[in-house]
Amino acid sequence: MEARALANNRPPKVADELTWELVRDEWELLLAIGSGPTSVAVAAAALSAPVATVERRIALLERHGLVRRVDDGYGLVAAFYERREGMSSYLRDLVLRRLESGDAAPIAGVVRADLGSTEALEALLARAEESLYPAVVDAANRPESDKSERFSVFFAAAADCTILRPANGDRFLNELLCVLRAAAGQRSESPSTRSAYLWIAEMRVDPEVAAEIGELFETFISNAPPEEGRGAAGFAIVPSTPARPRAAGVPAQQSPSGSHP
Amino acid sequence: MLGQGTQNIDDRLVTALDSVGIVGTRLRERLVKDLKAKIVLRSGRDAVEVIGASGTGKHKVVEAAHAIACDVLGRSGPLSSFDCGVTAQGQPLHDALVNAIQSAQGGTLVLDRFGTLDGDGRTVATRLIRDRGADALILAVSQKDLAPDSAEPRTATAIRLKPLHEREADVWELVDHFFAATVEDLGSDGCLGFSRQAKGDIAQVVQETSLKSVRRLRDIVRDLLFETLADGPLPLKLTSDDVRPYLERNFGQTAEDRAQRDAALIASQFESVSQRSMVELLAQTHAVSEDLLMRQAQILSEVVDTIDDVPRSYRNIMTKAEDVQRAALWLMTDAATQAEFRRYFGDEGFMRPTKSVAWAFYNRVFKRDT
Repeated sequence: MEARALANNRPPKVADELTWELVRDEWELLLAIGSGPTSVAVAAAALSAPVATVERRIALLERHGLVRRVDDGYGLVAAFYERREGMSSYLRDLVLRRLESGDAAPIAGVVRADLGSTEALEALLARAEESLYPAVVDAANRPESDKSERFSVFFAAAADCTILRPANGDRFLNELLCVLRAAAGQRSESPSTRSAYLWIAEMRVDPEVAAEIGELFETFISNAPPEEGRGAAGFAIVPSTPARPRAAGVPAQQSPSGSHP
Repeated sequence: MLGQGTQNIDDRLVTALDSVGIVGTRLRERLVKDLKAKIVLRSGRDAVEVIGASGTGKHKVVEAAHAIACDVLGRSGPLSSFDCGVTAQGQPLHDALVNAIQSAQGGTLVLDRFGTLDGDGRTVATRLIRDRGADALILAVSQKDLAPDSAEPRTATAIRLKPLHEREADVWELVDHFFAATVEDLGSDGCLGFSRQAKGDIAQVVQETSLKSVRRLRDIVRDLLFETLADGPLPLKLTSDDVRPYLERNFGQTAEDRAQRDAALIASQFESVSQRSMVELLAQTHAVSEDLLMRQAQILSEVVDTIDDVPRSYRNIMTKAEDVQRAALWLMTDAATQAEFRRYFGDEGFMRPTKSVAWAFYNRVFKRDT
């Protein structure tokens, strides 16, 4: 399963509740470990936590298949973590709080509300599965540079979306929230739907790589043919935390991601 | 100074809440404010009615109030109790209450079941605790509030405790707290608690059944733990698989209920997102008014409109904007000479642009090719 997924350049999907729970609990530690090899000491330093505690936490993650030994350290086991239930909880923690508290505009983002019918959205998302996500995963897993920062990516698509334009507030953010809300609602009501999708990822990459990922999404959404209907899609890539210099010796990072396919 | 003193009181109030084990961020925030406004700042002179349904933590609040009366108000008397429910049944309320207030001198007197007093009893009690000469903090405990238009006499002020189902933000914290307390008793440390999904399922039961009592939630958490334990060792986390059979059996929770609740939560979360406009965000970031920033944007737009000899590329726009900005700065300093321009920035050398920088600036402002 994993070999086939890696050969396709597509990490396997992991959907069980306990694993997803560990991902949520240890989000920061997983980001600190990255693709590795990251020593316990380096991960502990990144979290400003005692080495012995971090060692125990990493051992737990290893036992549950979230990280693996890489040379003298540890690295993430690449995977798409999916949850269909309890979406309200992670929407609040992983999406809304980040968008609301953001102190900078997205480095890239676009919303389209002319993407047509349910069938058109299904086709769009199938194309995304085939070409967009693998390209994004590829870019996100490139080695870091000294300028690397954390970025959050939000991507949503829904077959039935009404874009409401408020009199005030950030127009782009409002439109993106409309698509996120529609996607979340449709996924929640109909877990097996193939015409709504929500993908959240956090990654530590060079800002140029982040811009490249932005271009991948932007090109994908912008090139979709306009059609009659209520289909919409949108994405944004935003800096997650203030820029800070990377400590010497911190290895290349890989991204944990939460998806809602 | 006052700010420091207030902060110090807040810290001590938090310590008091910790010492009696009051859990829930929202409730604690509310209580810090209430205890300060209704007890500390009034030096405990006004009687306070603590109102809440059974199991909402009234006696915990009483303990916290007594602790803060001792710590901040310097009282050293005991925490004593007077059961209005018993006394109301034929005993001479006035005399009994006078004695109780006297005995509580320098401490705290809790009037338990204050709400059970009938109209006359309540009138007598309220008059006594309002007119008391003795230095006792009086806390009257009631399950029900008077109707807003009730003519019944009231204590000077009140602390109202919400039923649990109205404390949605605190439910998860309480579940974690009761879990930790139970496994501590068991001496088990291999289980990390309930998963988010499991806590969401429990929270839904609290909502759907309008559960008022924190004690009842504690019972549910303990039931869930011991039922799981009866099947074998506790897992790393108690997931929805572990809690749903119990919730379905005891509270009739269904998968449809859960899906509906999640959908409703999703909708409410999006509705509660407050958006800042871009101008608001940037004005805050740069510590200028929104009006100033908008005027600057308008000016910049007009500057860009003047570019008609070269393409309006990023480079050309920035060059033009910087040139105009420099010229505006020159005008702002009211300088007639380069030396005057330098002097505008201060008497100290380090405050002024160097001569070479000022020379370059001068050349850009007057478009001198050098």
